[in-house]
Amino acid sequence: MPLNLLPQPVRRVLLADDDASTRLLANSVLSGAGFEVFLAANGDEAVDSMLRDRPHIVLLDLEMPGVDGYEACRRIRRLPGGAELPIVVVTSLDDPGSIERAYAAGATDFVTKPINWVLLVHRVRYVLRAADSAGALRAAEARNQALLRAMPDSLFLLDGTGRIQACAAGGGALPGDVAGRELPATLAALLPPEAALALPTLCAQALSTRLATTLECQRLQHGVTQVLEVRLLPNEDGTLLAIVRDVSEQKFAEQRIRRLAYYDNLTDLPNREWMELRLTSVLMAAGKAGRRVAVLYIDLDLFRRVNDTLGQLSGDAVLIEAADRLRHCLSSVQLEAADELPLARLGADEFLIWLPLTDGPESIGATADSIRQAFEPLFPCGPVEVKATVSIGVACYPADGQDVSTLLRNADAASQQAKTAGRNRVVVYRAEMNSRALERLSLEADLRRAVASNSLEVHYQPKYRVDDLGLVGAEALLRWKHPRLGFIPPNEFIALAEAAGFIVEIDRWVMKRVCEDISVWRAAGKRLLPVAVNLSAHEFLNQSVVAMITDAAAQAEVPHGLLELELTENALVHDATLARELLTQLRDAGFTLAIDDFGTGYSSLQYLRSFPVHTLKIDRSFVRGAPDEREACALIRAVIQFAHSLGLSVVAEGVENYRQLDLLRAERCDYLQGYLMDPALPAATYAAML
Amino acid sequence: MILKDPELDRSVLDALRELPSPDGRSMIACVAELFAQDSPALLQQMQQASEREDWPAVGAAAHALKSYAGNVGALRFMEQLRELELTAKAGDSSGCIALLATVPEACGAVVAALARESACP
Repeated sequence: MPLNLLPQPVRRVLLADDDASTRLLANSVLSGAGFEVFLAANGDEAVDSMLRDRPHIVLLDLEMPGVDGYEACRRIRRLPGGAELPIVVVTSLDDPGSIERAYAAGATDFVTKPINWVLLVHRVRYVLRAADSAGALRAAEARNQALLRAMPDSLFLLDGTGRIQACAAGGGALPGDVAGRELPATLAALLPPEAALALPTLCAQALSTRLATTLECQRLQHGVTQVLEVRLLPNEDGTLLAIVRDVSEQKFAEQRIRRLAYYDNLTDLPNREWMELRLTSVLMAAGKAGRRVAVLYIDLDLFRRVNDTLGQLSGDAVLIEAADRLRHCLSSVQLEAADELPLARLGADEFLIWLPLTDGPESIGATADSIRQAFEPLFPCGPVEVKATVSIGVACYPADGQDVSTLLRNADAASQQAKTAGRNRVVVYRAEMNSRALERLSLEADLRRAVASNSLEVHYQPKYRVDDLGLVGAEALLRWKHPRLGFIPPNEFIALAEAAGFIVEIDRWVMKRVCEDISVWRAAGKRLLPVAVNLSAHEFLNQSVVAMITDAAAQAEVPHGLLELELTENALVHDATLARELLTQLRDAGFTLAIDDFGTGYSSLQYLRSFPVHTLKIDRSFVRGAPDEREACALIRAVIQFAHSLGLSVVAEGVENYRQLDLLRAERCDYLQGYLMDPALPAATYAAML
Repeated sequence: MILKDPELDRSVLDALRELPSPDGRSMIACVAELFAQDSPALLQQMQQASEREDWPAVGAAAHALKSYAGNVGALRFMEQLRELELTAKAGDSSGCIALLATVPEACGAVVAALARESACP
C-alpha cells in the first residue's frame, strides 16, 4: 500500500468558545471534515478537555467569562504534551492588540471572527500539518541527538584556522569538556599541548590536499590516560569537520594484543621481536640527534644446568627473579620514557638492555658492573639456592654497529668473551673480538670433527705412592692435536666444549677410550691399575652420568674398581643434594671418587664431610708454592690432616721437585703425580710401565 | 427568489446553508434558534451591568453577543455591538447608556430576520 493511502488516524480538535453558535458551527464543519471535535464553553473546561481528550489542536476564543483564552493558553502550555501543541486563538479583527497578547501567552496562530467556516477547516489542516512537520523535525533532531550521544564522537565545525563554529557533543570524546561548559574558541584548546600545536598545520593541510587527515593524541583525564583521535575532513566551503573520538579502549586493546605478540609471559619482559622494533627506532632517533647508545648483552651463566638438574620450574623461577633484578637495576637509571624499560628477553637466558651513552664506552662499565653485582647473591630456588651470575657484553652505537643486528652480534661476542674469561664479568666489545669469535667458531667446528673422527687422544699421567714411589695408577688426560695449530691446552678446548654444549660427548668419548685402553692392557696381560677420569663440572649434575659411566665400563668389561672419577668442588656444591645422590650411586656401583683441584673452589667442609668420596687431590697451585711459601705449606698440611681425619686419601698434583716431595712425605701425603716423576704419557708409553 | 434582508449578510447565510446540520434542519435554523435562545440573557446581562455601572461587564456581554451576531451574518448589529463594547471598555458611561438603548430593538430585528430566513427552504 502506498504510504499516502495509509489510513490517517482521526485528529482531535478542541474548541473553546463561550458562544454556543460558534461551537455549533465549528463542530458541524470540523466533524464534517473528519475531525473528532471536543467543545468547551470556557477556559476551565478547555483545560479539563485538554487533559481528558488529548486534542491534536486547540481553537481558543480569547474572550470568555471566567478563565479567558490567554490564561487557558498559558495553562495548556504547561500541561504534559502542551508545550508543542498547536493553539489557534480566535479573536476579533477589530482587536489587533489581542493577537500580540495571545502570542505572548503561547499561541501558535490566530483566526478572526466572524469565522469563515470553509476556510477554518483548511486553516486547521494547515496548522496541524505544520505542527506535524515541526514534530517530525523535533523527533529527527532528538534521534540525531540520541545518535550523537550514542556515537563515541564529538563533532566540530571548524573554520580554516581551527576555530570552532559549531559543535555537537557525542557521548564519548571530550566529555566534561564540551558538556556543561562554555565552548572554547578553538578546538586546540580542548587538546593536549602537542596536538594543539599541530592542529593549525593539519587543518591547512587537509584543506589544501582536500584529504582527510588524522591526529592522535593522549591526555590525562581524571587520572586516566585517554587516547583521542581527531579526524579532520575538509568541506568545499573552506570549513572543516573535526571528528574527535575517544579511542582509548581500542588503543588499550591494541596494547593488549601487542603485549601478547611482543611479550614473554614468563618474565613479563618484551621479547626479541619487540626489542628489534624498539631498538631500531631508538637507534634511528639517536642517529638523528647524534647521540650514542650502549647495548648490554646479558647472559646468565650456567643457566642450562639449573634447568637440566633442578627442572624447568626452578629454571623459570630463576628467570623470573633475574628479570626482576634487571628491572630493579634499571629503576635507578635515569630513563627518558618512564613507562617503557629499555629491557628485553632475547632467548632462554639472554637479556638485552640499551642505555644512552653520554661519556666514553667505559662510563657504561659502572652501570654494567652494578648489574653484574646484582646477580652475585644466590637465587632462591625452592629448598635450595643456586648461583646464576651474568656475563655481560657491551657494544656501543654507532661505533660498534650501525644497526641492531650488528650491534647485537658484537655485544654477544663481548659477552662470550666474558664467559670465556671466567664468567661473572663485564667485557666491553673491541673490534678484534669478532675475529676471535670467528676463530673460536672454526675451532669449535674442528673440535666437533675431532670428537667425531676419534682424533682426540687420551694420555696417562702416572700416579705414585709418596712412601716408596711405587706406581699406583694414572690420571687420564685429554689431548687434542689440532692439525694446523698443534696441541691445544685442555683448559682452552674444554671451556670451548662447555660453552658450545658438547662437553658431555667429550666426557663420554674419554670414558669409552679409557675403558677400551684398560681392556687392551688386560688382553695384553698387563698389570691392571686404576685410572682416574675427569668428569666435567658442567655435565656432572645430570642423572644420566651414572648410566654413561657404567655403560662404558660394561662395554669394555672393565671392573668398576679400576675407574676413579674425579670431580671439582664446583661441580658438587651447586646442588649438594643431587651431587650427594649421584656420588652415592657411583660409590655403591664400586667406583672410586676423588675431588679434584681441592682448595681452589668454593667448598663447604660441611658438605664435603657428607659426600661419599675416597680421595682429595691437592691443587697444583698449592704444591707449586711449597715449600718456600708458608701459606702454601700450611694449606697442604691442613688439607692432608682434614682428609685423613675423614678417612680420605690425598693426592698431590703438579709435584715438580724433591723439596716438594720431602714436604709431602713429612706431611704424610699418600700419593703424588707430576713432572718430578712423569708428564702425561701416550697410552702405549704408559702401558709399557705396567 | 429570496428577498434581500437588510439585517443579514447574504454571503454568510449562503455559507451557512452549505453546512451540514446535526439534526436534518437547516444550519440557518439551528443558529437562528441559538441566537433567539441566548440573546435575551445577554441583553439582560448588559442591562443589569449597566444599572450597576459595571461597564467592563457590559463590554463583555456585548462582545459575546457580537460573536453570535457574526455567526448569523448580522453585520449591522455586529457593528452596533462593537461600538458598545469599545465604549464600555473605555468606561464611557453616558455613551454606553445611549448605545444600550438601541440594542434590544436591533436584536429583535435580527431575530425576526432570522425567523424569516429559517422559514425559507
